[in-house]
Amino acid sequence: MASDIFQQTSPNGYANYSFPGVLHYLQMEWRKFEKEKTEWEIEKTDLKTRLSFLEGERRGIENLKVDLLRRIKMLEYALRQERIKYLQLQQKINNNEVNTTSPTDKSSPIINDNDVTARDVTLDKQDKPESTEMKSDSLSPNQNLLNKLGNKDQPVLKSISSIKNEDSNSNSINLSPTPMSGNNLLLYSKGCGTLRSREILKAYLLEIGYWNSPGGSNSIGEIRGLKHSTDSTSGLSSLAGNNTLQKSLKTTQYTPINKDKSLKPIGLNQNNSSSVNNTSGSSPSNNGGINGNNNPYLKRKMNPKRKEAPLSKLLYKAPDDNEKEELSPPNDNTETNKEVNKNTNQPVAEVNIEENKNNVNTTNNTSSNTTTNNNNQEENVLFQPEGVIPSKQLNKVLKASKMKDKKRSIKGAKKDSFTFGNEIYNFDGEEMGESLAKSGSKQGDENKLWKPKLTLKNHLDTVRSLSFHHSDKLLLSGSDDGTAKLWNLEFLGNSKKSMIDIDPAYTYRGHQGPVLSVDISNDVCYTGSLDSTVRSWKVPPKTLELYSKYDPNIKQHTFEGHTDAVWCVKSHPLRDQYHLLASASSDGTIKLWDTESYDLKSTLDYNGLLSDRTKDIEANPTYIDWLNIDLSKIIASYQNSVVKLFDIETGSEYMKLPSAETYDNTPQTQINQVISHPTMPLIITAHEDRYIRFFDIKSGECINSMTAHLDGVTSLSIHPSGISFASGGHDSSIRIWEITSKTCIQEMSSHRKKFDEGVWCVKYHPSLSNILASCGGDSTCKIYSNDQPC
Amino acid sequence: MTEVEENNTNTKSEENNSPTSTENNNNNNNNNNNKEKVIRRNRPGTKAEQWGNWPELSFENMNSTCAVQQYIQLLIKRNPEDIKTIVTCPEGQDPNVWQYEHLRLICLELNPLLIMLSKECNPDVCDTMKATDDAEFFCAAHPKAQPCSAIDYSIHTVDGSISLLNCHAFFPTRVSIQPTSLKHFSNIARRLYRIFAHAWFHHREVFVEFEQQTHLYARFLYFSTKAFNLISPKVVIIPNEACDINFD
Repeated sequence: MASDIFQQTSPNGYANYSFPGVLHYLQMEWRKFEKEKTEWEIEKTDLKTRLSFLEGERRGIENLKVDLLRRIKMLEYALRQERIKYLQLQQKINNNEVNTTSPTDKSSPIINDNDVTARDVTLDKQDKPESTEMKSDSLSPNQNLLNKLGNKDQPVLKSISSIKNEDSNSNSINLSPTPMSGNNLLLYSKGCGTLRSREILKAYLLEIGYWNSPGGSNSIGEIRGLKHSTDSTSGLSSLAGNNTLQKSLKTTQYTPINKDKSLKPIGLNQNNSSSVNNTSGSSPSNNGGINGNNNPYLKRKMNPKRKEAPLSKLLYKAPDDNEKEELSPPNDNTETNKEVNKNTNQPVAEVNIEENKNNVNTTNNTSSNTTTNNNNQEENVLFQPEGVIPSKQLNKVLKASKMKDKKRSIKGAKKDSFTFGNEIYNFDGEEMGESLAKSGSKQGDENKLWKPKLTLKNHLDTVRSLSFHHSDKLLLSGSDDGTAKLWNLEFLGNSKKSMIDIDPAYTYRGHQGPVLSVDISNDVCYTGSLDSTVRSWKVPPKTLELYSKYDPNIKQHTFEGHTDAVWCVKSHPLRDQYHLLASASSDGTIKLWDTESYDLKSTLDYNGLLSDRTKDIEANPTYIDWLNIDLSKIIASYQNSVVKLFDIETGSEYMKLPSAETYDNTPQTQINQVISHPTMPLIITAHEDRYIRFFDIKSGECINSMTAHLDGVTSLSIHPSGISFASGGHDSSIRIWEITSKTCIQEMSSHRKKFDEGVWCVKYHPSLSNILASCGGDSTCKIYSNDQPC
Repeated sequence: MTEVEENNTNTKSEENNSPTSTENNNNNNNNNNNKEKVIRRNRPGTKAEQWGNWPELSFENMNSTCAVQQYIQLLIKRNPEDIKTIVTCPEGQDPNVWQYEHLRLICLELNPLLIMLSKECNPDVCDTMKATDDAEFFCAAHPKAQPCSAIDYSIHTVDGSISLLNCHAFFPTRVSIQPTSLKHFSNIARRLYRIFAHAWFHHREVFVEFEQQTHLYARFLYFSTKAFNLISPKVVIIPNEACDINFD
């Protein structure tokens, strides 16, 4: 009736309103509104992600800053230590001089001197920090002497004494927020210095507090931006490491050399950073040079008389000259030479004394070598002062150490290394290095290396698929043994001890064949099997005990419709709006199911909606994923290496990606998996012929194509932060990649092969940034963590 | 470790695209010297009928840690009725590892039986675990053995056996078995036998159907009584007619 009335009125001037028309209009409006709502929702989540990303970035920068401060502090401390030693030395030398005033006896005092220094060092080795205070006290008369002796043009000397004073007064370690202020601080006189250092201490503690607070994720890119500064710090730290090694003091001290840094801070810093950039191997040699430089010039001031040291002649056969260039021949490393030259612009170093110093170092080294372990020995050799090792040998050692470094950085995950950006700097064997590494790694966040934490053994055959709950620490695994198992990993991060035997929280039995694919969505588990069915299961209550009564209600539904193996199940990410489950089968189709009514909504084959099937099916789908930036699209990869995007509303093909570059008409070049980036218009594909390819959805073009594994790539997973992803392959390895640079950050060899099947699946937890899981042919699942608080 | 080596040789020979693979000790390649290397894996998208459809690999050429499992599965796939061949431990093979892998596979293949039983057997029908009326079995999966309904007993026993076989303390590796862990084999076998017994005496149709499909009982019986002395003949209460294969 109503429609009749409308139709009657239409001739009277009303526009052609008809009931269906109005309805249609309303529906359209409603749909439009709904669509917009979804879009807003997506935009909102996008922005949120972006926000947390930026926050994480900021925290990362702050962490970095704090670390740098720490390092400066360390270096300063070490510097002071060294200085004290020097003064002590000086004192003894002076004493000697008093004893032997005749210039003819030159050689003997020098030898004495060396002996003394050697002894001093060993002494230091035993009782570090406590003795320093004492020493400084006992040295005070000497200071005056020093000041008198010292050249007035050299502010450095003054600063030394001022440091002394400060130390003895305030008994506290100097804390300086920046290198600059640190330098200033050194020049402060007594009272002022104490006050200031207290202030700085406060600020520092504040920052430490901040640093300890659980931090967000660090972005690699941002750290890269900071690379310059990072490098210089790494130079610093390696400086510290090397020098300590040189002294071969295996205690907690950051011994000597660091003073180089804080004393001639800025200029040297820059020099270093430039050269350190090249390799970590080259930095040690620089240090050697600097090291040699620095100490001697102090000495020279103190004993201007002792210019000609016969011993040094013996060693180097170099003319006694004040010019640095003369020193260079024994040192083969040109870089070092440059460095040395630069440094000589500052107070001119005294050759003889430097050589003495070298000599001292040798004695130190020999004595220390006996006590230190192999690793240290090697490093000691490296850092022995220039003339002692023939230059060729030095180079060899350098090369060897570089090789070692490389190896390490590839293998990753050594305890005495830490990462910044992509680069891994090694602190060779020093405990100090390790402690540094710890502090460095804590803030490395994203860059932290993943370590295996747990092996889940309970499946009896190849484990093919994994899925994490979107928020809880629940893992679902599907295996060729016909079962899917649910693992409760809630204890992860709570208990320190590594648990070895974990029983699954539940074992889902029902499929009559291998379970090929699993997915958890909102407390419902979906499994696809070789038996052509998709099943849904309830997640049992967490209180469910092991070996409790069999509950038939755990089984929820069996989706029947496919006529061949179901290779992928994926529920829609927006669970509340779309009650959708997609399944891809080797019958050539993708089916969309309603998860509420269990109805089959539509069937897509290679060409789109099944209804307009005109051609034969060309290939079976291998994997499906939802396009995260437009959730009305589904991505499907095919055996013929093609990736297609379908619109789930219309069922039509939306896009076809040019991914079949290397397809050779066999499944040996197929795509195994395709994933969509959570926030960027990016799709990544894993190919059986070892490639990983990147596609821009906006342009539909392939951005990058790289050989990623030694065998077929089976699986990909993007870290929740969106800046790195993991890949697994039949070469049994798992690799972590950076998305922006496409460089491999880490490689882990984990699973063993069954036939030619290695790793079948890798999966990051979708919201917790420190959990990674993998599974493979050896019937096990493994959990990795990067040690962040959960 | 051998795994890694194997990987390396694989890639080397592939890169060389090698006619030299004959010299190469890599056994995977030996099989197909001049042909393209056969890759044995079930890639995503494979049809069910193509599942595991690859040329057989001889046992000597299997060198991964899963070799024994691979080989037994191959034998079962070849002919599930050829019990003797399946169960007999090949020469040079550690019989303990052989038993271990067989038990794993028996647990795996009991899955379908559990599924079939769970449709028929529920606490209302079988509230206690019995075979004949002589004895009731207590479920050993719990910290303290307790009476469970038959279906719970069956599931718990299989789950418990799987857990035990995967227990790091007893079976840290699949390559060798600690002598102290051998005692568990007979425990597991004895308990699993009861599941068969219950099915035979209380769910005959299920048992017969399952046995026709898999011949698992025949294999289990031969394995645990004839080939290896895991259960004493006294315990065997299922009549011989249950076995559709005569292996004597």
